[in-house]
Amino acid sequence: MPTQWVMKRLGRRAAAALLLVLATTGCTTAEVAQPTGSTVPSSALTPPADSSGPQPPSPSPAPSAPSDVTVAVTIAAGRVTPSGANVRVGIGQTVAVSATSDVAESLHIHGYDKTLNLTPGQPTALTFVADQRGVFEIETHESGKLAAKLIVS
Amino acid sequence: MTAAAATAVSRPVGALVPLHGIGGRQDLPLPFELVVAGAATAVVASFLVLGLAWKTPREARRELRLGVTATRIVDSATLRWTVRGLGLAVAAFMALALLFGQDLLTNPIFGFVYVWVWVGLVPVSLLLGPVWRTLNPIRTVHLLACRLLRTNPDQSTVLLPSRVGRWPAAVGLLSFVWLELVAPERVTIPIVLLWLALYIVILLFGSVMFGQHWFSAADPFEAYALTMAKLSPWGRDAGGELMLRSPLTNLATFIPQPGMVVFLSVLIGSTGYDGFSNSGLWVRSTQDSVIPGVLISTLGLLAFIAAVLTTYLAACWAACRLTNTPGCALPGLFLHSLVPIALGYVTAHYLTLLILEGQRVLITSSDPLSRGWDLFGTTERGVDASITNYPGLIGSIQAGAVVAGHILGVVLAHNRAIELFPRRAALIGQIPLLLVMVGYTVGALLLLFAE
Repeated sequence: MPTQWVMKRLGRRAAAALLLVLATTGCTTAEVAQPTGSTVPSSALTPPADSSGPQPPSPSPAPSAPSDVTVAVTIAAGRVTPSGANVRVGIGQTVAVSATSDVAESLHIHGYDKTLNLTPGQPTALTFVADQRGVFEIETHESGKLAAKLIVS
Repeated sequence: MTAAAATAVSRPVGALVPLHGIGGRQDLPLPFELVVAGAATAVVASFLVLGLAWKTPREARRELRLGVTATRIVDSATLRWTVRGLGLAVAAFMALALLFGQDLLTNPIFGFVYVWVWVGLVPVSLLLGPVWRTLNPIRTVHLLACRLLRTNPDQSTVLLPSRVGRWPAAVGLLSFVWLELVAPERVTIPIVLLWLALYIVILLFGSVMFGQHWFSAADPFEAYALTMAKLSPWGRDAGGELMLRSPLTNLATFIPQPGMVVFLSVLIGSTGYDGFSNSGLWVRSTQDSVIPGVLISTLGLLAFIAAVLTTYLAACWAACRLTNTPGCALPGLFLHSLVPIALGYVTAHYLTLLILEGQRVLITSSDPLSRGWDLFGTTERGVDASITNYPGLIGSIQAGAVVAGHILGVVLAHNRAIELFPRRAALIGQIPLLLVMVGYTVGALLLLFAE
């Protein structure tokens, strides 16, 4: 079966070509991380705009310091907004996640293992520093719906 | 905090997330340039093989015979029972965590099943060859019971018809990927316990009826491990003497048992579905649907498997027509060429999971019953996630694995074609499968790219 000969004739050629392409493209990917200036879809950036009801002090530490990336999640009538959005975050940036819900829910940020426990009508928020690269889901706990994915690079 | 509250906080629900129910982190999408480069490499390499490569079948001459002594050591009862004991001990430990541990994500059983066994059996088999047959704790239990009852483990009450082949394992694999990727609450003790109990009962019951041959036929993990072991350098000659040889030569000795076409389709299709089901497109279009999520996910999974199966069978059928081969046996004869493609897929999808979550199993194993123990002194250790600092490297390995698997698959298919067909027919006959393989590879790269 095709062993030595393959390796000599084709494998070496193909492997060299492959390595070359991968090496060139691999280099560009390493530069992706941007220290500042995030490109978040506008849908995910909408600040919590419900100033209608009375706003009791949030149980979680409200983000006082300006954050680099904001994700505002609204859970209403069984729907989650944003729904499956991609949110790009540079490594080391501060991420603020805020949420309001019309039902008792919790919102979980996978990988970073952060959870927002939501009481109906009470806006809640948390901030954290995105210090690990990868894709992390922000998901509702009870209904298991994906609000957004943090793409930390 | 009550146990239930602790569960609520620490369990990021399994409803949508597959393995990430445990992991929580997925790899970054591949940069587009890498996808294009990978696809281009795959296409160019395919046609290089087709057009320029060897025209007569190549047989490997070089193999390193390891001699009678090495063979005797590897086959020795001492070594065999040491390995069996190891497999049994680890399984027994995890069974304790499963039966008496708490239903928390910190229970090591989840990572053990979904990462150590399911993903880990691949590198173990690639490095050590068909070791899973000996590690398999259920085989060992059966063997010990037979010793105790002084019966022959090969003895069967009913003879298993040879056409059964690996069909039970294919069905078992389908049920496991459904558990892993679709089942609601798949990262909870009751569900994992139910699946494992059924798996063990079916294996043990069958082994009583059909003898230990049943494990080869029905254990999906063993069938998977032994398939991957064909890509290891470990082989045997006709007399059973141990030798080292090229993995490609090893793989050409792959015997396409009945059911294996479906088995490999399930393996490749489910891995593809895993990538697809994480894409924003799929999530956005399904999560607010009126159709229950489990149903959509099940149909999605089956659709991916069916797509792999039908495209492969169609390529083989077309090859039969083009080469005028009567009584088409090609699906079996070319099947081994799908094995490196499957390896490329699982490497791209699960390598970082194995590295990161594999460590977590080691950490959580120190406290299997959630009682504050530190059995192995690993409780305080965190997961070393430094590999995530090299996204370019990870992406290159992912794309490289898919493309390398593709090239090996094409090479194997080419060699098999020129073994089977006259020269001109061989050239034409391999085109359909080659196109299908290009499709698998481009598809895999796009899934890795999809956001």
